[in-house]
Amino acid sequence: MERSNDSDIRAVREMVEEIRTSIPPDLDWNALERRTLDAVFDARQLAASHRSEQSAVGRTSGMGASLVFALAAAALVMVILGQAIGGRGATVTDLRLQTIETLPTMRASQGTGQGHLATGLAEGARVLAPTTAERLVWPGVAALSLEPGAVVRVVRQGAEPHLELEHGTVQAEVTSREDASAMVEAFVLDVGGVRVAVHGTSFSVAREAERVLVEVTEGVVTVGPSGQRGPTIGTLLRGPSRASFLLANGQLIEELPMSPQPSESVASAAREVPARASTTTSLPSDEPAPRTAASAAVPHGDSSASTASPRREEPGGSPDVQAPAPPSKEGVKLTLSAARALLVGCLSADLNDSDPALRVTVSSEVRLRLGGDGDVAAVRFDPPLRPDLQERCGGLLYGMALDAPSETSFEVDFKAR
Amino acid sequence: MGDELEGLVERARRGDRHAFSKLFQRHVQQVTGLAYRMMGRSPDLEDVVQEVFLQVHRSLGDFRGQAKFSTWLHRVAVNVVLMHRRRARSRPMLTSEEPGRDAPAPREAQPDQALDKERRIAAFHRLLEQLSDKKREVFLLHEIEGLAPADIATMVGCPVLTVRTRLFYARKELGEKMREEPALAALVRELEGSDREEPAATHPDAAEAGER
Repeated sequence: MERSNDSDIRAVREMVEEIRTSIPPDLDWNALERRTLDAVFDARQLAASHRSEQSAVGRTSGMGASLVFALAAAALVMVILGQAIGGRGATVTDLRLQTIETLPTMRASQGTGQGHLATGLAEGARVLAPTTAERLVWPGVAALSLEPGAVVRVVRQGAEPHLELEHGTVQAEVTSREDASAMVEAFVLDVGGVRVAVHGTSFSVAREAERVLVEVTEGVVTVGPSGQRGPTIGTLLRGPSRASFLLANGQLIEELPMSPQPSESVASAAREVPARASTTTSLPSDEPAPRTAASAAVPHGDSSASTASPRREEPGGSPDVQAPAPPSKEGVKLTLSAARALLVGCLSADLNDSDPALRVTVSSEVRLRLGGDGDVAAVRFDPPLRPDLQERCGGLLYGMALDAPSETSFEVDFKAR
Repeated sequence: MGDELEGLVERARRGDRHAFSKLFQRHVQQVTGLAYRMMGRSPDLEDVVQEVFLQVHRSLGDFRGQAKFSTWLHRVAVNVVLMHRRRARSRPMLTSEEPGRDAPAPREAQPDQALDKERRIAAFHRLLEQLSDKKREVFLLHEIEGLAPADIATMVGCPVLTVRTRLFYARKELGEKMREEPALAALVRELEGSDREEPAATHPDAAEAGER
């Protein structure tokens, strides 16, 4: 048996050596260089042309406007052509940029505020805000403000838009949903290896060289690794809060104090959030940043997770977790989806670093009983979970007021990675 | 960093297309090799190489010259490949995109030995795809790219001990899977056979006793 293991390992080493000494295929280096340089310098030229056109508009507005229009039209044609001729569409289509001004505009009266209509963007399209902050709008769903120089790529369109931030800083306002669809992430933004998933909130994301800064003005977002199926699992940030994450994988680096003076664009964006968004997930702006939700969901056994646990397990007790004295969190209203994300974050923190040889799956119905003012009075898992998990993760919900009926339930399905 | 390279980086940072082109020409083979080692023969290879250089251009402003350019580039490229793989795994898979099922590209007059090697490598990449993301990443970074566990721990954001544990299980799992993969089982058997022969050769008396 020992010998078999030895030969297995030696075989693996042989293959590693073969891969290390393998010769990569010959590519069409010239074409690749041309394409890459075009993609790199398209963005720069578009931005530069846009700047010079803007100054030209000041002098000869008629001529400047037609040049801008021609440039924008050319960019759009290139995108369309790219889509038509690109085999898999990635190489040509994805790397062409269009300036945001090429999109139709919307007035404030059309819902989700003023900005450029984003629903017509093709999947794979990349959009640049060249010189001024610009706003992309998915009516009734979300609005994304791009700082000058920011580039976003549309990964998926539909009821729950999915974008990737390739460069720069964006602020997002996402309308929270109150029906059954609230369980689904309403808006997803990938930043390198980081995924920021939202149910209804206002936040900003900045991409830096090796880290991503996420600042949540109000509501709750989940930040975790991108590229995984199903709900995002990671650190929960509840506004107002700010934290940095590894660009490569969404690992929390540190929690940070809120910016002393939020940028005007953030502040103005927040003012334009539809009232519906703030009714379910907002915090009073003068309230100190509560860390409970965020720190409780920090992965890799953050000790604050266990300190959030309010109750010792009674031997042989029922799977109900009894309510402790609720912490003072008046005014905080969570949606069911945020409550679910909180639980999943807690489970992932606990289970993801367990023995990698074991595959752990949690599947349970969570039944909640709420008090008169919406505070969680009892949490029951059916079937019950491991007692310590029940205590730690179920306990997180106490002191939270939910925007939900007095008896409510949801499913939690979680696979440890 | 050499003066010439430093000059190229500085000029590319300021938007000089010619300088960036020179950087591309100097390093594209290095990046392609890395992507090929980590991904195998993938239809996305060119896209990934292109994405690496886009990322390099975006991040040139952050390169301060404390590290060698090639080291910095390697790090950027590794991150891009890892992100690409994660994205690819999350997107719905079309039948024609199934990883690793593509046979090695036919090459004219390719010697059998080289073809066998390509088959083995393609099969090994298929097995790598079956590992969990966490195990595969540390395996690729350590075994294929030669990064130290401490560096990997920083990159993936976990303790060094966890990296070592994942490596241990990744090797073990791959070894077991190799036995079931037709293109690789022969290699395992061959190594097992040589293990058996070695003691016989060193202890002829014992072998004779066994025969009797």
